[in-house]
Amino acid sequence: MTASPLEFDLTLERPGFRLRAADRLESGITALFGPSGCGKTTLLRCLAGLEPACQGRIRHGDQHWQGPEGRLPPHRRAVGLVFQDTRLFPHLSARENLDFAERRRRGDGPGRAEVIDGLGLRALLDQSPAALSGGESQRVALGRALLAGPRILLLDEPLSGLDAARQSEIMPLLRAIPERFGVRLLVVTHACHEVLSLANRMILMQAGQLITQAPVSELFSAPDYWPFLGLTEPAVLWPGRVVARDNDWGLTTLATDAGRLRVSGISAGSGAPVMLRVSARDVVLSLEPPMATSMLNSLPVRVETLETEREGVVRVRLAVGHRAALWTHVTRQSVAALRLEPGRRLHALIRPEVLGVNH
Amino acid sequence: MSDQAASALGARRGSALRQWLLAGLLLVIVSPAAAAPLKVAVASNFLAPLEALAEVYRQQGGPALQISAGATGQLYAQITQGAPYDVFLAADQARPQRLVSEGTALTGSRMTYARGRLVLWARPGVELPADGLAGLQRPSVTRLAIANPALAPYGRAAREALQATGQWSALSDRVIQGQNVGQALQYLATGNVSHALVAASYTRLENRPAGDYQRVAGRLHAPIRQDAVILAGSASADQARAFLAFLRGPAAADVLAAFGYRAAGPSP
Amino acid sequence: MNLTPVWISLQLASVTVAVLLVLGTPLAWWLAMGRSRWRVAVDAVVALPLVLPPTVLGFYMLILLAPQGPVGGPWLAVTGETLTFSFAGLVITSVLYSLPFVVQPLRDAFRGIGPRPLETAAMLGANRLDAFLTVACPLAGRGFVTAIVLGFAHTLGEFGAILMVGGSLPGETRTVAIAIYEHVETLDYAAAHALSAGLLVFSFVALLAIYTLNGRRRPGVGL
Repeated sequence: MTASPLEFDLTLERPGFRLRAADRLESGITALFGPSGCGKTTLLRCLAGLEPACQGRIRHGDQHWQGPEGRLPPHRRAVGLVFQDTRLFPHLSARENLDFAERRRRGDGPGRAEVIDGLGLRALLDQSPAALSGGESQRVALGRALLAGPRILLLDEPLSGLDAARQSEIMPLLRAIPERFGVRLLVVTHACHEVLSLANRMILMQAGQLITQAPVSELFSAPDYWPFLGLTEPAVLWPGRVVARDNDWGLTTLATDAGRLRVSGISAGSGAPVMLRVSARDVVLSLEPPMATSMLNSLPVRVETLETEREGVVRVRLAVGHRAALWTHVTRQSVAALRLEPGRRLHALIRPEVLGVNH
Repeated sequence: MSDQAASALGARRGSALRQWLLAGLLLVIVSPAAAAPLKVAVASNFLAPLEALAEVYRQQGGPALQISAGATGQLYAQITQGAPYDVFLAADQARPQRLVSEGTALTGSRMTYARGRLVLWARPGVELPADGLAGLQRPSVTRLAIANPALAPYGRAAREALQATGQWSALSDRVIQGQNVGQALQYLATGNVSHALVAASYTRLENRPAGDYQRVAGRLHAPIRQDAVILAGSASADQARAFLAFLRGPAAADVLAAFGYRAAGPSP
Repeated sequence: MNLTPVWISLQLASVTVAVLLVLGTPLAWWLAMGRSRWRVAVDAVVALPLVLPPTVLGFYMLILLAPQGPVGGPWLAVTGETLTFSFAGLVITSVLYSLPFVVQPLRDAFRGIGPRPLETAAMLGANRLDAFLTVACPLAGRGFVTAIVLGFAHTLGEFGAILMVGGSLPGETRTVAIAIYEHVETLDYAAAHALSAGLLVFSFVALLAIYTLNGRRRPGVGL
């Protein structure tokens, strides 16, 4: 039960700042990523209808939120916005905050019991917002936004200000929202690890402009965007699927575009999606197929390009498996020793990192 | 400079300073004694006549008057709390009487300086009864303003006049009482009442309200006597007595008539 | 001892505050949240009764509310009663006189709320009126308490203007402040003491009640 996509084409002028954004919001979780001050929060506010100076069009299915025929006020749009500072109503208890949203529900949405159980709110209901911790208020705010019955939920840096423990508490809750409640999420963040943990698509933004939108794995694997994403070293993201389990050794076999890989320490059913990351430093090249090493995984690769990065260090791009790519750094000496040149076939020992299961 | 020379110079400078101070002091003591203004507290309704009287008095060689106007009750309260006036010209007799009996005013200094008169005044466009107070029961008389009889002598006189003509109880639901006679006039001027019984002196004001008026016969009410007293704390009792004597004189009587008051007349 | 003036004063204060809450709350809201250029001018007009001497206000009310006046005339035509020398006239005068004491605390309280709670309410499906009633007004609670207390107290103590407009009619417009003044003027100090005591006691009890109720609001609101 997912609704139609959100299409927008907006401009906003302010002294010293200009927002120009045209794109679509697809289903699932999309991360809106960019440096601080690039206008991410402003874009959310424009989509929500909180910025009267915003011009342009917004269309959600057959509902025109904004356009030449008029502008729908925020409370009539099927959108929710969870602000960075939670903003629970201080004069109401947590339960009453939820009631507030439920009473003004704008469409079909999750039931009250579902939200309370799904977000673990039962113990917090009778408390006043001032008595809640950061993570607890964030969960209540999330529940409240869901109870209002939006089809699109905008989240402004929902994990900032929370410590790692709280973050790992909330992330699975957020990830489950699209499928569980049929809501599309747009999550503003400027932290890579949040994008990797939460989103399946991402939009890059800089200085008021949208740069591109693509699946997360694609953007993280593209060298053009590594500087923008703040990645200090090349890495690739490989979506994989569980195909076998070896219970004796506690190993799971995953099928990826690069080939079959075995990893340890995950428990997932057959067919479950798993996201893997392979950083350049976790790749070792070998002329011969490796014998008796401690690396579990080895794949045949073909050299595609060689680029000198800095004194004595060369970045190598490799083709592997079915149109997958892989990167590594080698010294100039290794280039000579292994006789690396475009087209050369050799083997790569890799240590994949599991980013997320069911992701 | 040697120490001796220095101290001699200092002594000479010091004595020069002392001489100037002494001269200044003498000047202050000697000169204004003859020209100190007389501080007079006066009821508001007599302020205008008093200013005219002050001018005449000064031309005759009397001292200048420093005049403070206010409601008789308030001035009375201030005086009992030690306000530094020399003479108090009240709008009634009760307050001056109290001051004398309390010892705040000099015994034997109380005297009537003026007698007030009443006029019946109608709002412009409203009929003024030809038969005076007896004609007040007409429907054209929607409201009659008087000063509060409990608070103001003009109000007391108004009630007496209405009682004498048999109108008091008949008009009781149409009578509006102002806090003082000035407020009764204000009600008339702003069109809130159709008629008013107020002090005759108001008819001499330059900016008096429009509308017709007629004098109310003095025999219909006890005289509205306005009394003066000399205050016990005054340092200029002789000047004060001289002024009060002037008030009873012929020059003052002319001014009083011009302002719609009667002269004091025979003592009560 | 006649306590009627006390009841008249209490009635006047209550009715005045009620009228001011109904009229003043939307005005305060507009002053706090509106974007019009006229706000500054209206702010200044609202503050005028603070600087006007009561007798000046009373004088102009006498003119406005007179039977041929711009306000008194229509009133007379519609109701058949004059506005001057009536309780209704007192209410109108008190409303003007105490206007800033009710509107300003409300305006400041609304301003203190800021735009955020209202944005949040809009994102949860509340329209502007809904957000005003269910979010802004509760959050401005303390402002309402101040407005009520100040408006009530200020009207109770009012003297010059209502004396002029009301004419001190016993049982109708003779408020306790006027009655005390008249007792003092006629040197009936005993009656003045008695009325003053009555007024003080009742006011204290009322203030105590208001502040107690205010203190019992949910902790954690803290606003």
